[in-house]
Amino acid sequence: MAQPPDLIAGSATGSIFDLGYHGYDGPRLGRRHAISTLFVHSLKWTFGIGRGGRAKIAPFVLAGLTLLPAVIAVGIRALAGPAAERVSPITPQNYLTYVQTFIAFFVTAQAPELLGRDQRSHVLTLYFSRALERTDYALAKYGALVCALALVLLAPQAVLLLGMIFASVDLGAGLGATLPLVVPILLSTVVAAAFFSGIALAIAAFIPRRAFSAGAIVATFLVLSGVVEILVVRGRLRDPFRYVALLDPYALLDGLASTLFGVPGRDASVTHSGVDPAIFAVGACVVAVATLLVIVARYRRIEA
Amino acid sequence: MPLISTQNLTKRYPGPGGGVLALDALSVEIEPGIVGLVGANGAGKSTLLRILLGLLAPTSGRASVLGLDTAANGGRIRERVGYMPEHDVLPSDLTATDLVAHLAEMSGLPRIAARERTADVLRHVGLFEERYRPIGGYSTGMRQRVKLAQALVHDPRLLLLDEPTNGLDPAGRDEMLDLVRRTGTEFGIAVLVCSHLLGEIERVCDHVVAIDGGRLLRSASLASFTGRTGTLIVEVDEGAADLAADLVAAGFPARVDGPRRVLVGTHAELPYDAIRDAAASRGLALIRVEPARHRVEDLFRDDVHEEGVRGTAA
Repeated sequence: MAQPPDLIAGSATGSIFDLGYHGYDGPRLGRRHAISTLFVHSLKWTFGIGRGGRAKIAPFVLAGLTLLPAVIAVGIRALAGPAAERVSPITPQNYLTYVQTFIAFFVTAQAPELLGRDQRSHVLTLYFSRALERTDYALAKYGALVCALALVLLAPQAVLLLGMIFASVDLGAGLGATLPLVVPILLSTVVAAAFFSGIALAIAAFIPRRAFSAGAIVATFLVLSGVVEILVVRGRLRDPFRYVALLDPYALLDGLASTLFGVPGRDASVTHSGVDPAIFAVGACVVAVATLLVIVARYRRIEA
Repeated sequence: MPLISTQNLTKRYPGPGGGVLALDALSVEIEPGIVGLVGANGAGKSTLLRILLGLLAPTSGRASVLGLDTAANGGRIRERVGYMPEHDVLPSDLTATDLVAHLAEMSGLPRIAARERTADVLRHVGLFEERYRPIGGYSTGMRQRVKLAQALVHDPRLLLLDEPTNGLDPAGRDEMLDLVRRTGTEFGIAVLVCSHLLGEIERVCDHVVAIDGGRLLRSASLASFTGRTGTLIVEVDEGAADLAADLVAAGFPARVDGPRRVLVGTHAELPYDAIRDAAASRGLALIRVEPARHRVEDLFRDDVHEEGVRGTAA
């Protein structure tokens, strides 16, 4: 015999609630786990993983564009053989300076995603009422963007190195020519990723609205590099004003690469100012650390 | 050891003219259970919660939660406390499942446990198929449930709820209050629930802490609150004075309150039978008999209320 309908309904809701709550006696991994989870989550977020298809367009298109010069350079090497040295201007020593605009666009697109979104939705309150500390949040976000950008930049340089090895007549000689480049490539890429990410995140941390912060970031890179270069090239600046060149983020990148690889710089702000490229390299490191401190300070005080 | 204790807790927000004094030397001890924190808007409720979580540093004074000092052990407190903020704090582009599981990991739960707890807790708060849809499309009631779920997901020992019924319709309000009561009674989680509606606090709490202007007004069990202010409102269409006289004659503290209302104290015994008999014998039409509603205003103007009933009893 069927039960009266109200009894069935009653027991149904009852059973849902009875299943509803259990305590948790399992491990609590605490703050470290929270930091590493937020880092991985943000790293994936940068590439649009776990988000909709549209979120993947910007990072992957920019990663593809960053790869393009490497593919072209390898192609030229394959076709031209040993003569490529003279034909192709793109080398592992100056690769980053060829893709500097894509680097700027990558951090412009992703820094507001990483920081502004949480500020706009006020979800920071939920983060900061947990095991995670405010400083941890800032470090995880910074680490995630630096790591994402470093991955985007290391891929084409790996292609370039492998291309050089396989295009060389003698495999041993190819390895001998490329292996010494590995450490400078890693160093320059990590420092470049850190100071580009740092500048973008430091701006994004203060401007929650995505459109405004993206505008401010891209303007900082393009206007600073453009104006400073004009000042340095046309201004015939003397001491101490020629150090204005250090404000050009692309000059910092060029100085960093030329210092680490021991090759002459390409960037006009570096060559025309006459400032030692090593000072630009130091400047890049200072910017990377200073912007991290700015972001941490901002998140220690931010309303949440 | 009390669950929460504060000593001379003071918080002054900087600003022009000396700033705003949100908490003024508040000293209170709160034992486990379901505790209501009542006060008008701006009384300092949210400020107190944020200090208890270690999110905000007090200007002076001390506070401890679960036996831990908020200034020194904020992190350890936050690991074992769930917090449901008052305002909208949910990102619209994530699903409830993704958000709550992510926040569970932020509380230190391993990934698999976080997923399992999320499914349990979302079902517990009454979110079923919706939990796989982005939060942007949720109603206010569903958002409040997600906020409660994220506060519960790491199985806290203490829940801090800031205006959990904010923006809910009467049905949603009932369901939320029911959830809060179940959480406190059946799952053994201590709850501190903030509200400016004493009616809500009455329904779920067994202890009430009332604050006003950042100062402690009273901290007492709910029973003692209702015991002291227990008053019946009797409304008749005429003859209120006669009814009051009959009730006083029958030994009940009663007083005329306007031409059609009589207030009857319920200290000694329940006056329902006497009211019925008096109305019947006088041939009065009883319109309604109901307990006087307790509101924050009553609590804060308690002297008026008490004086009224005591006056008639004298």
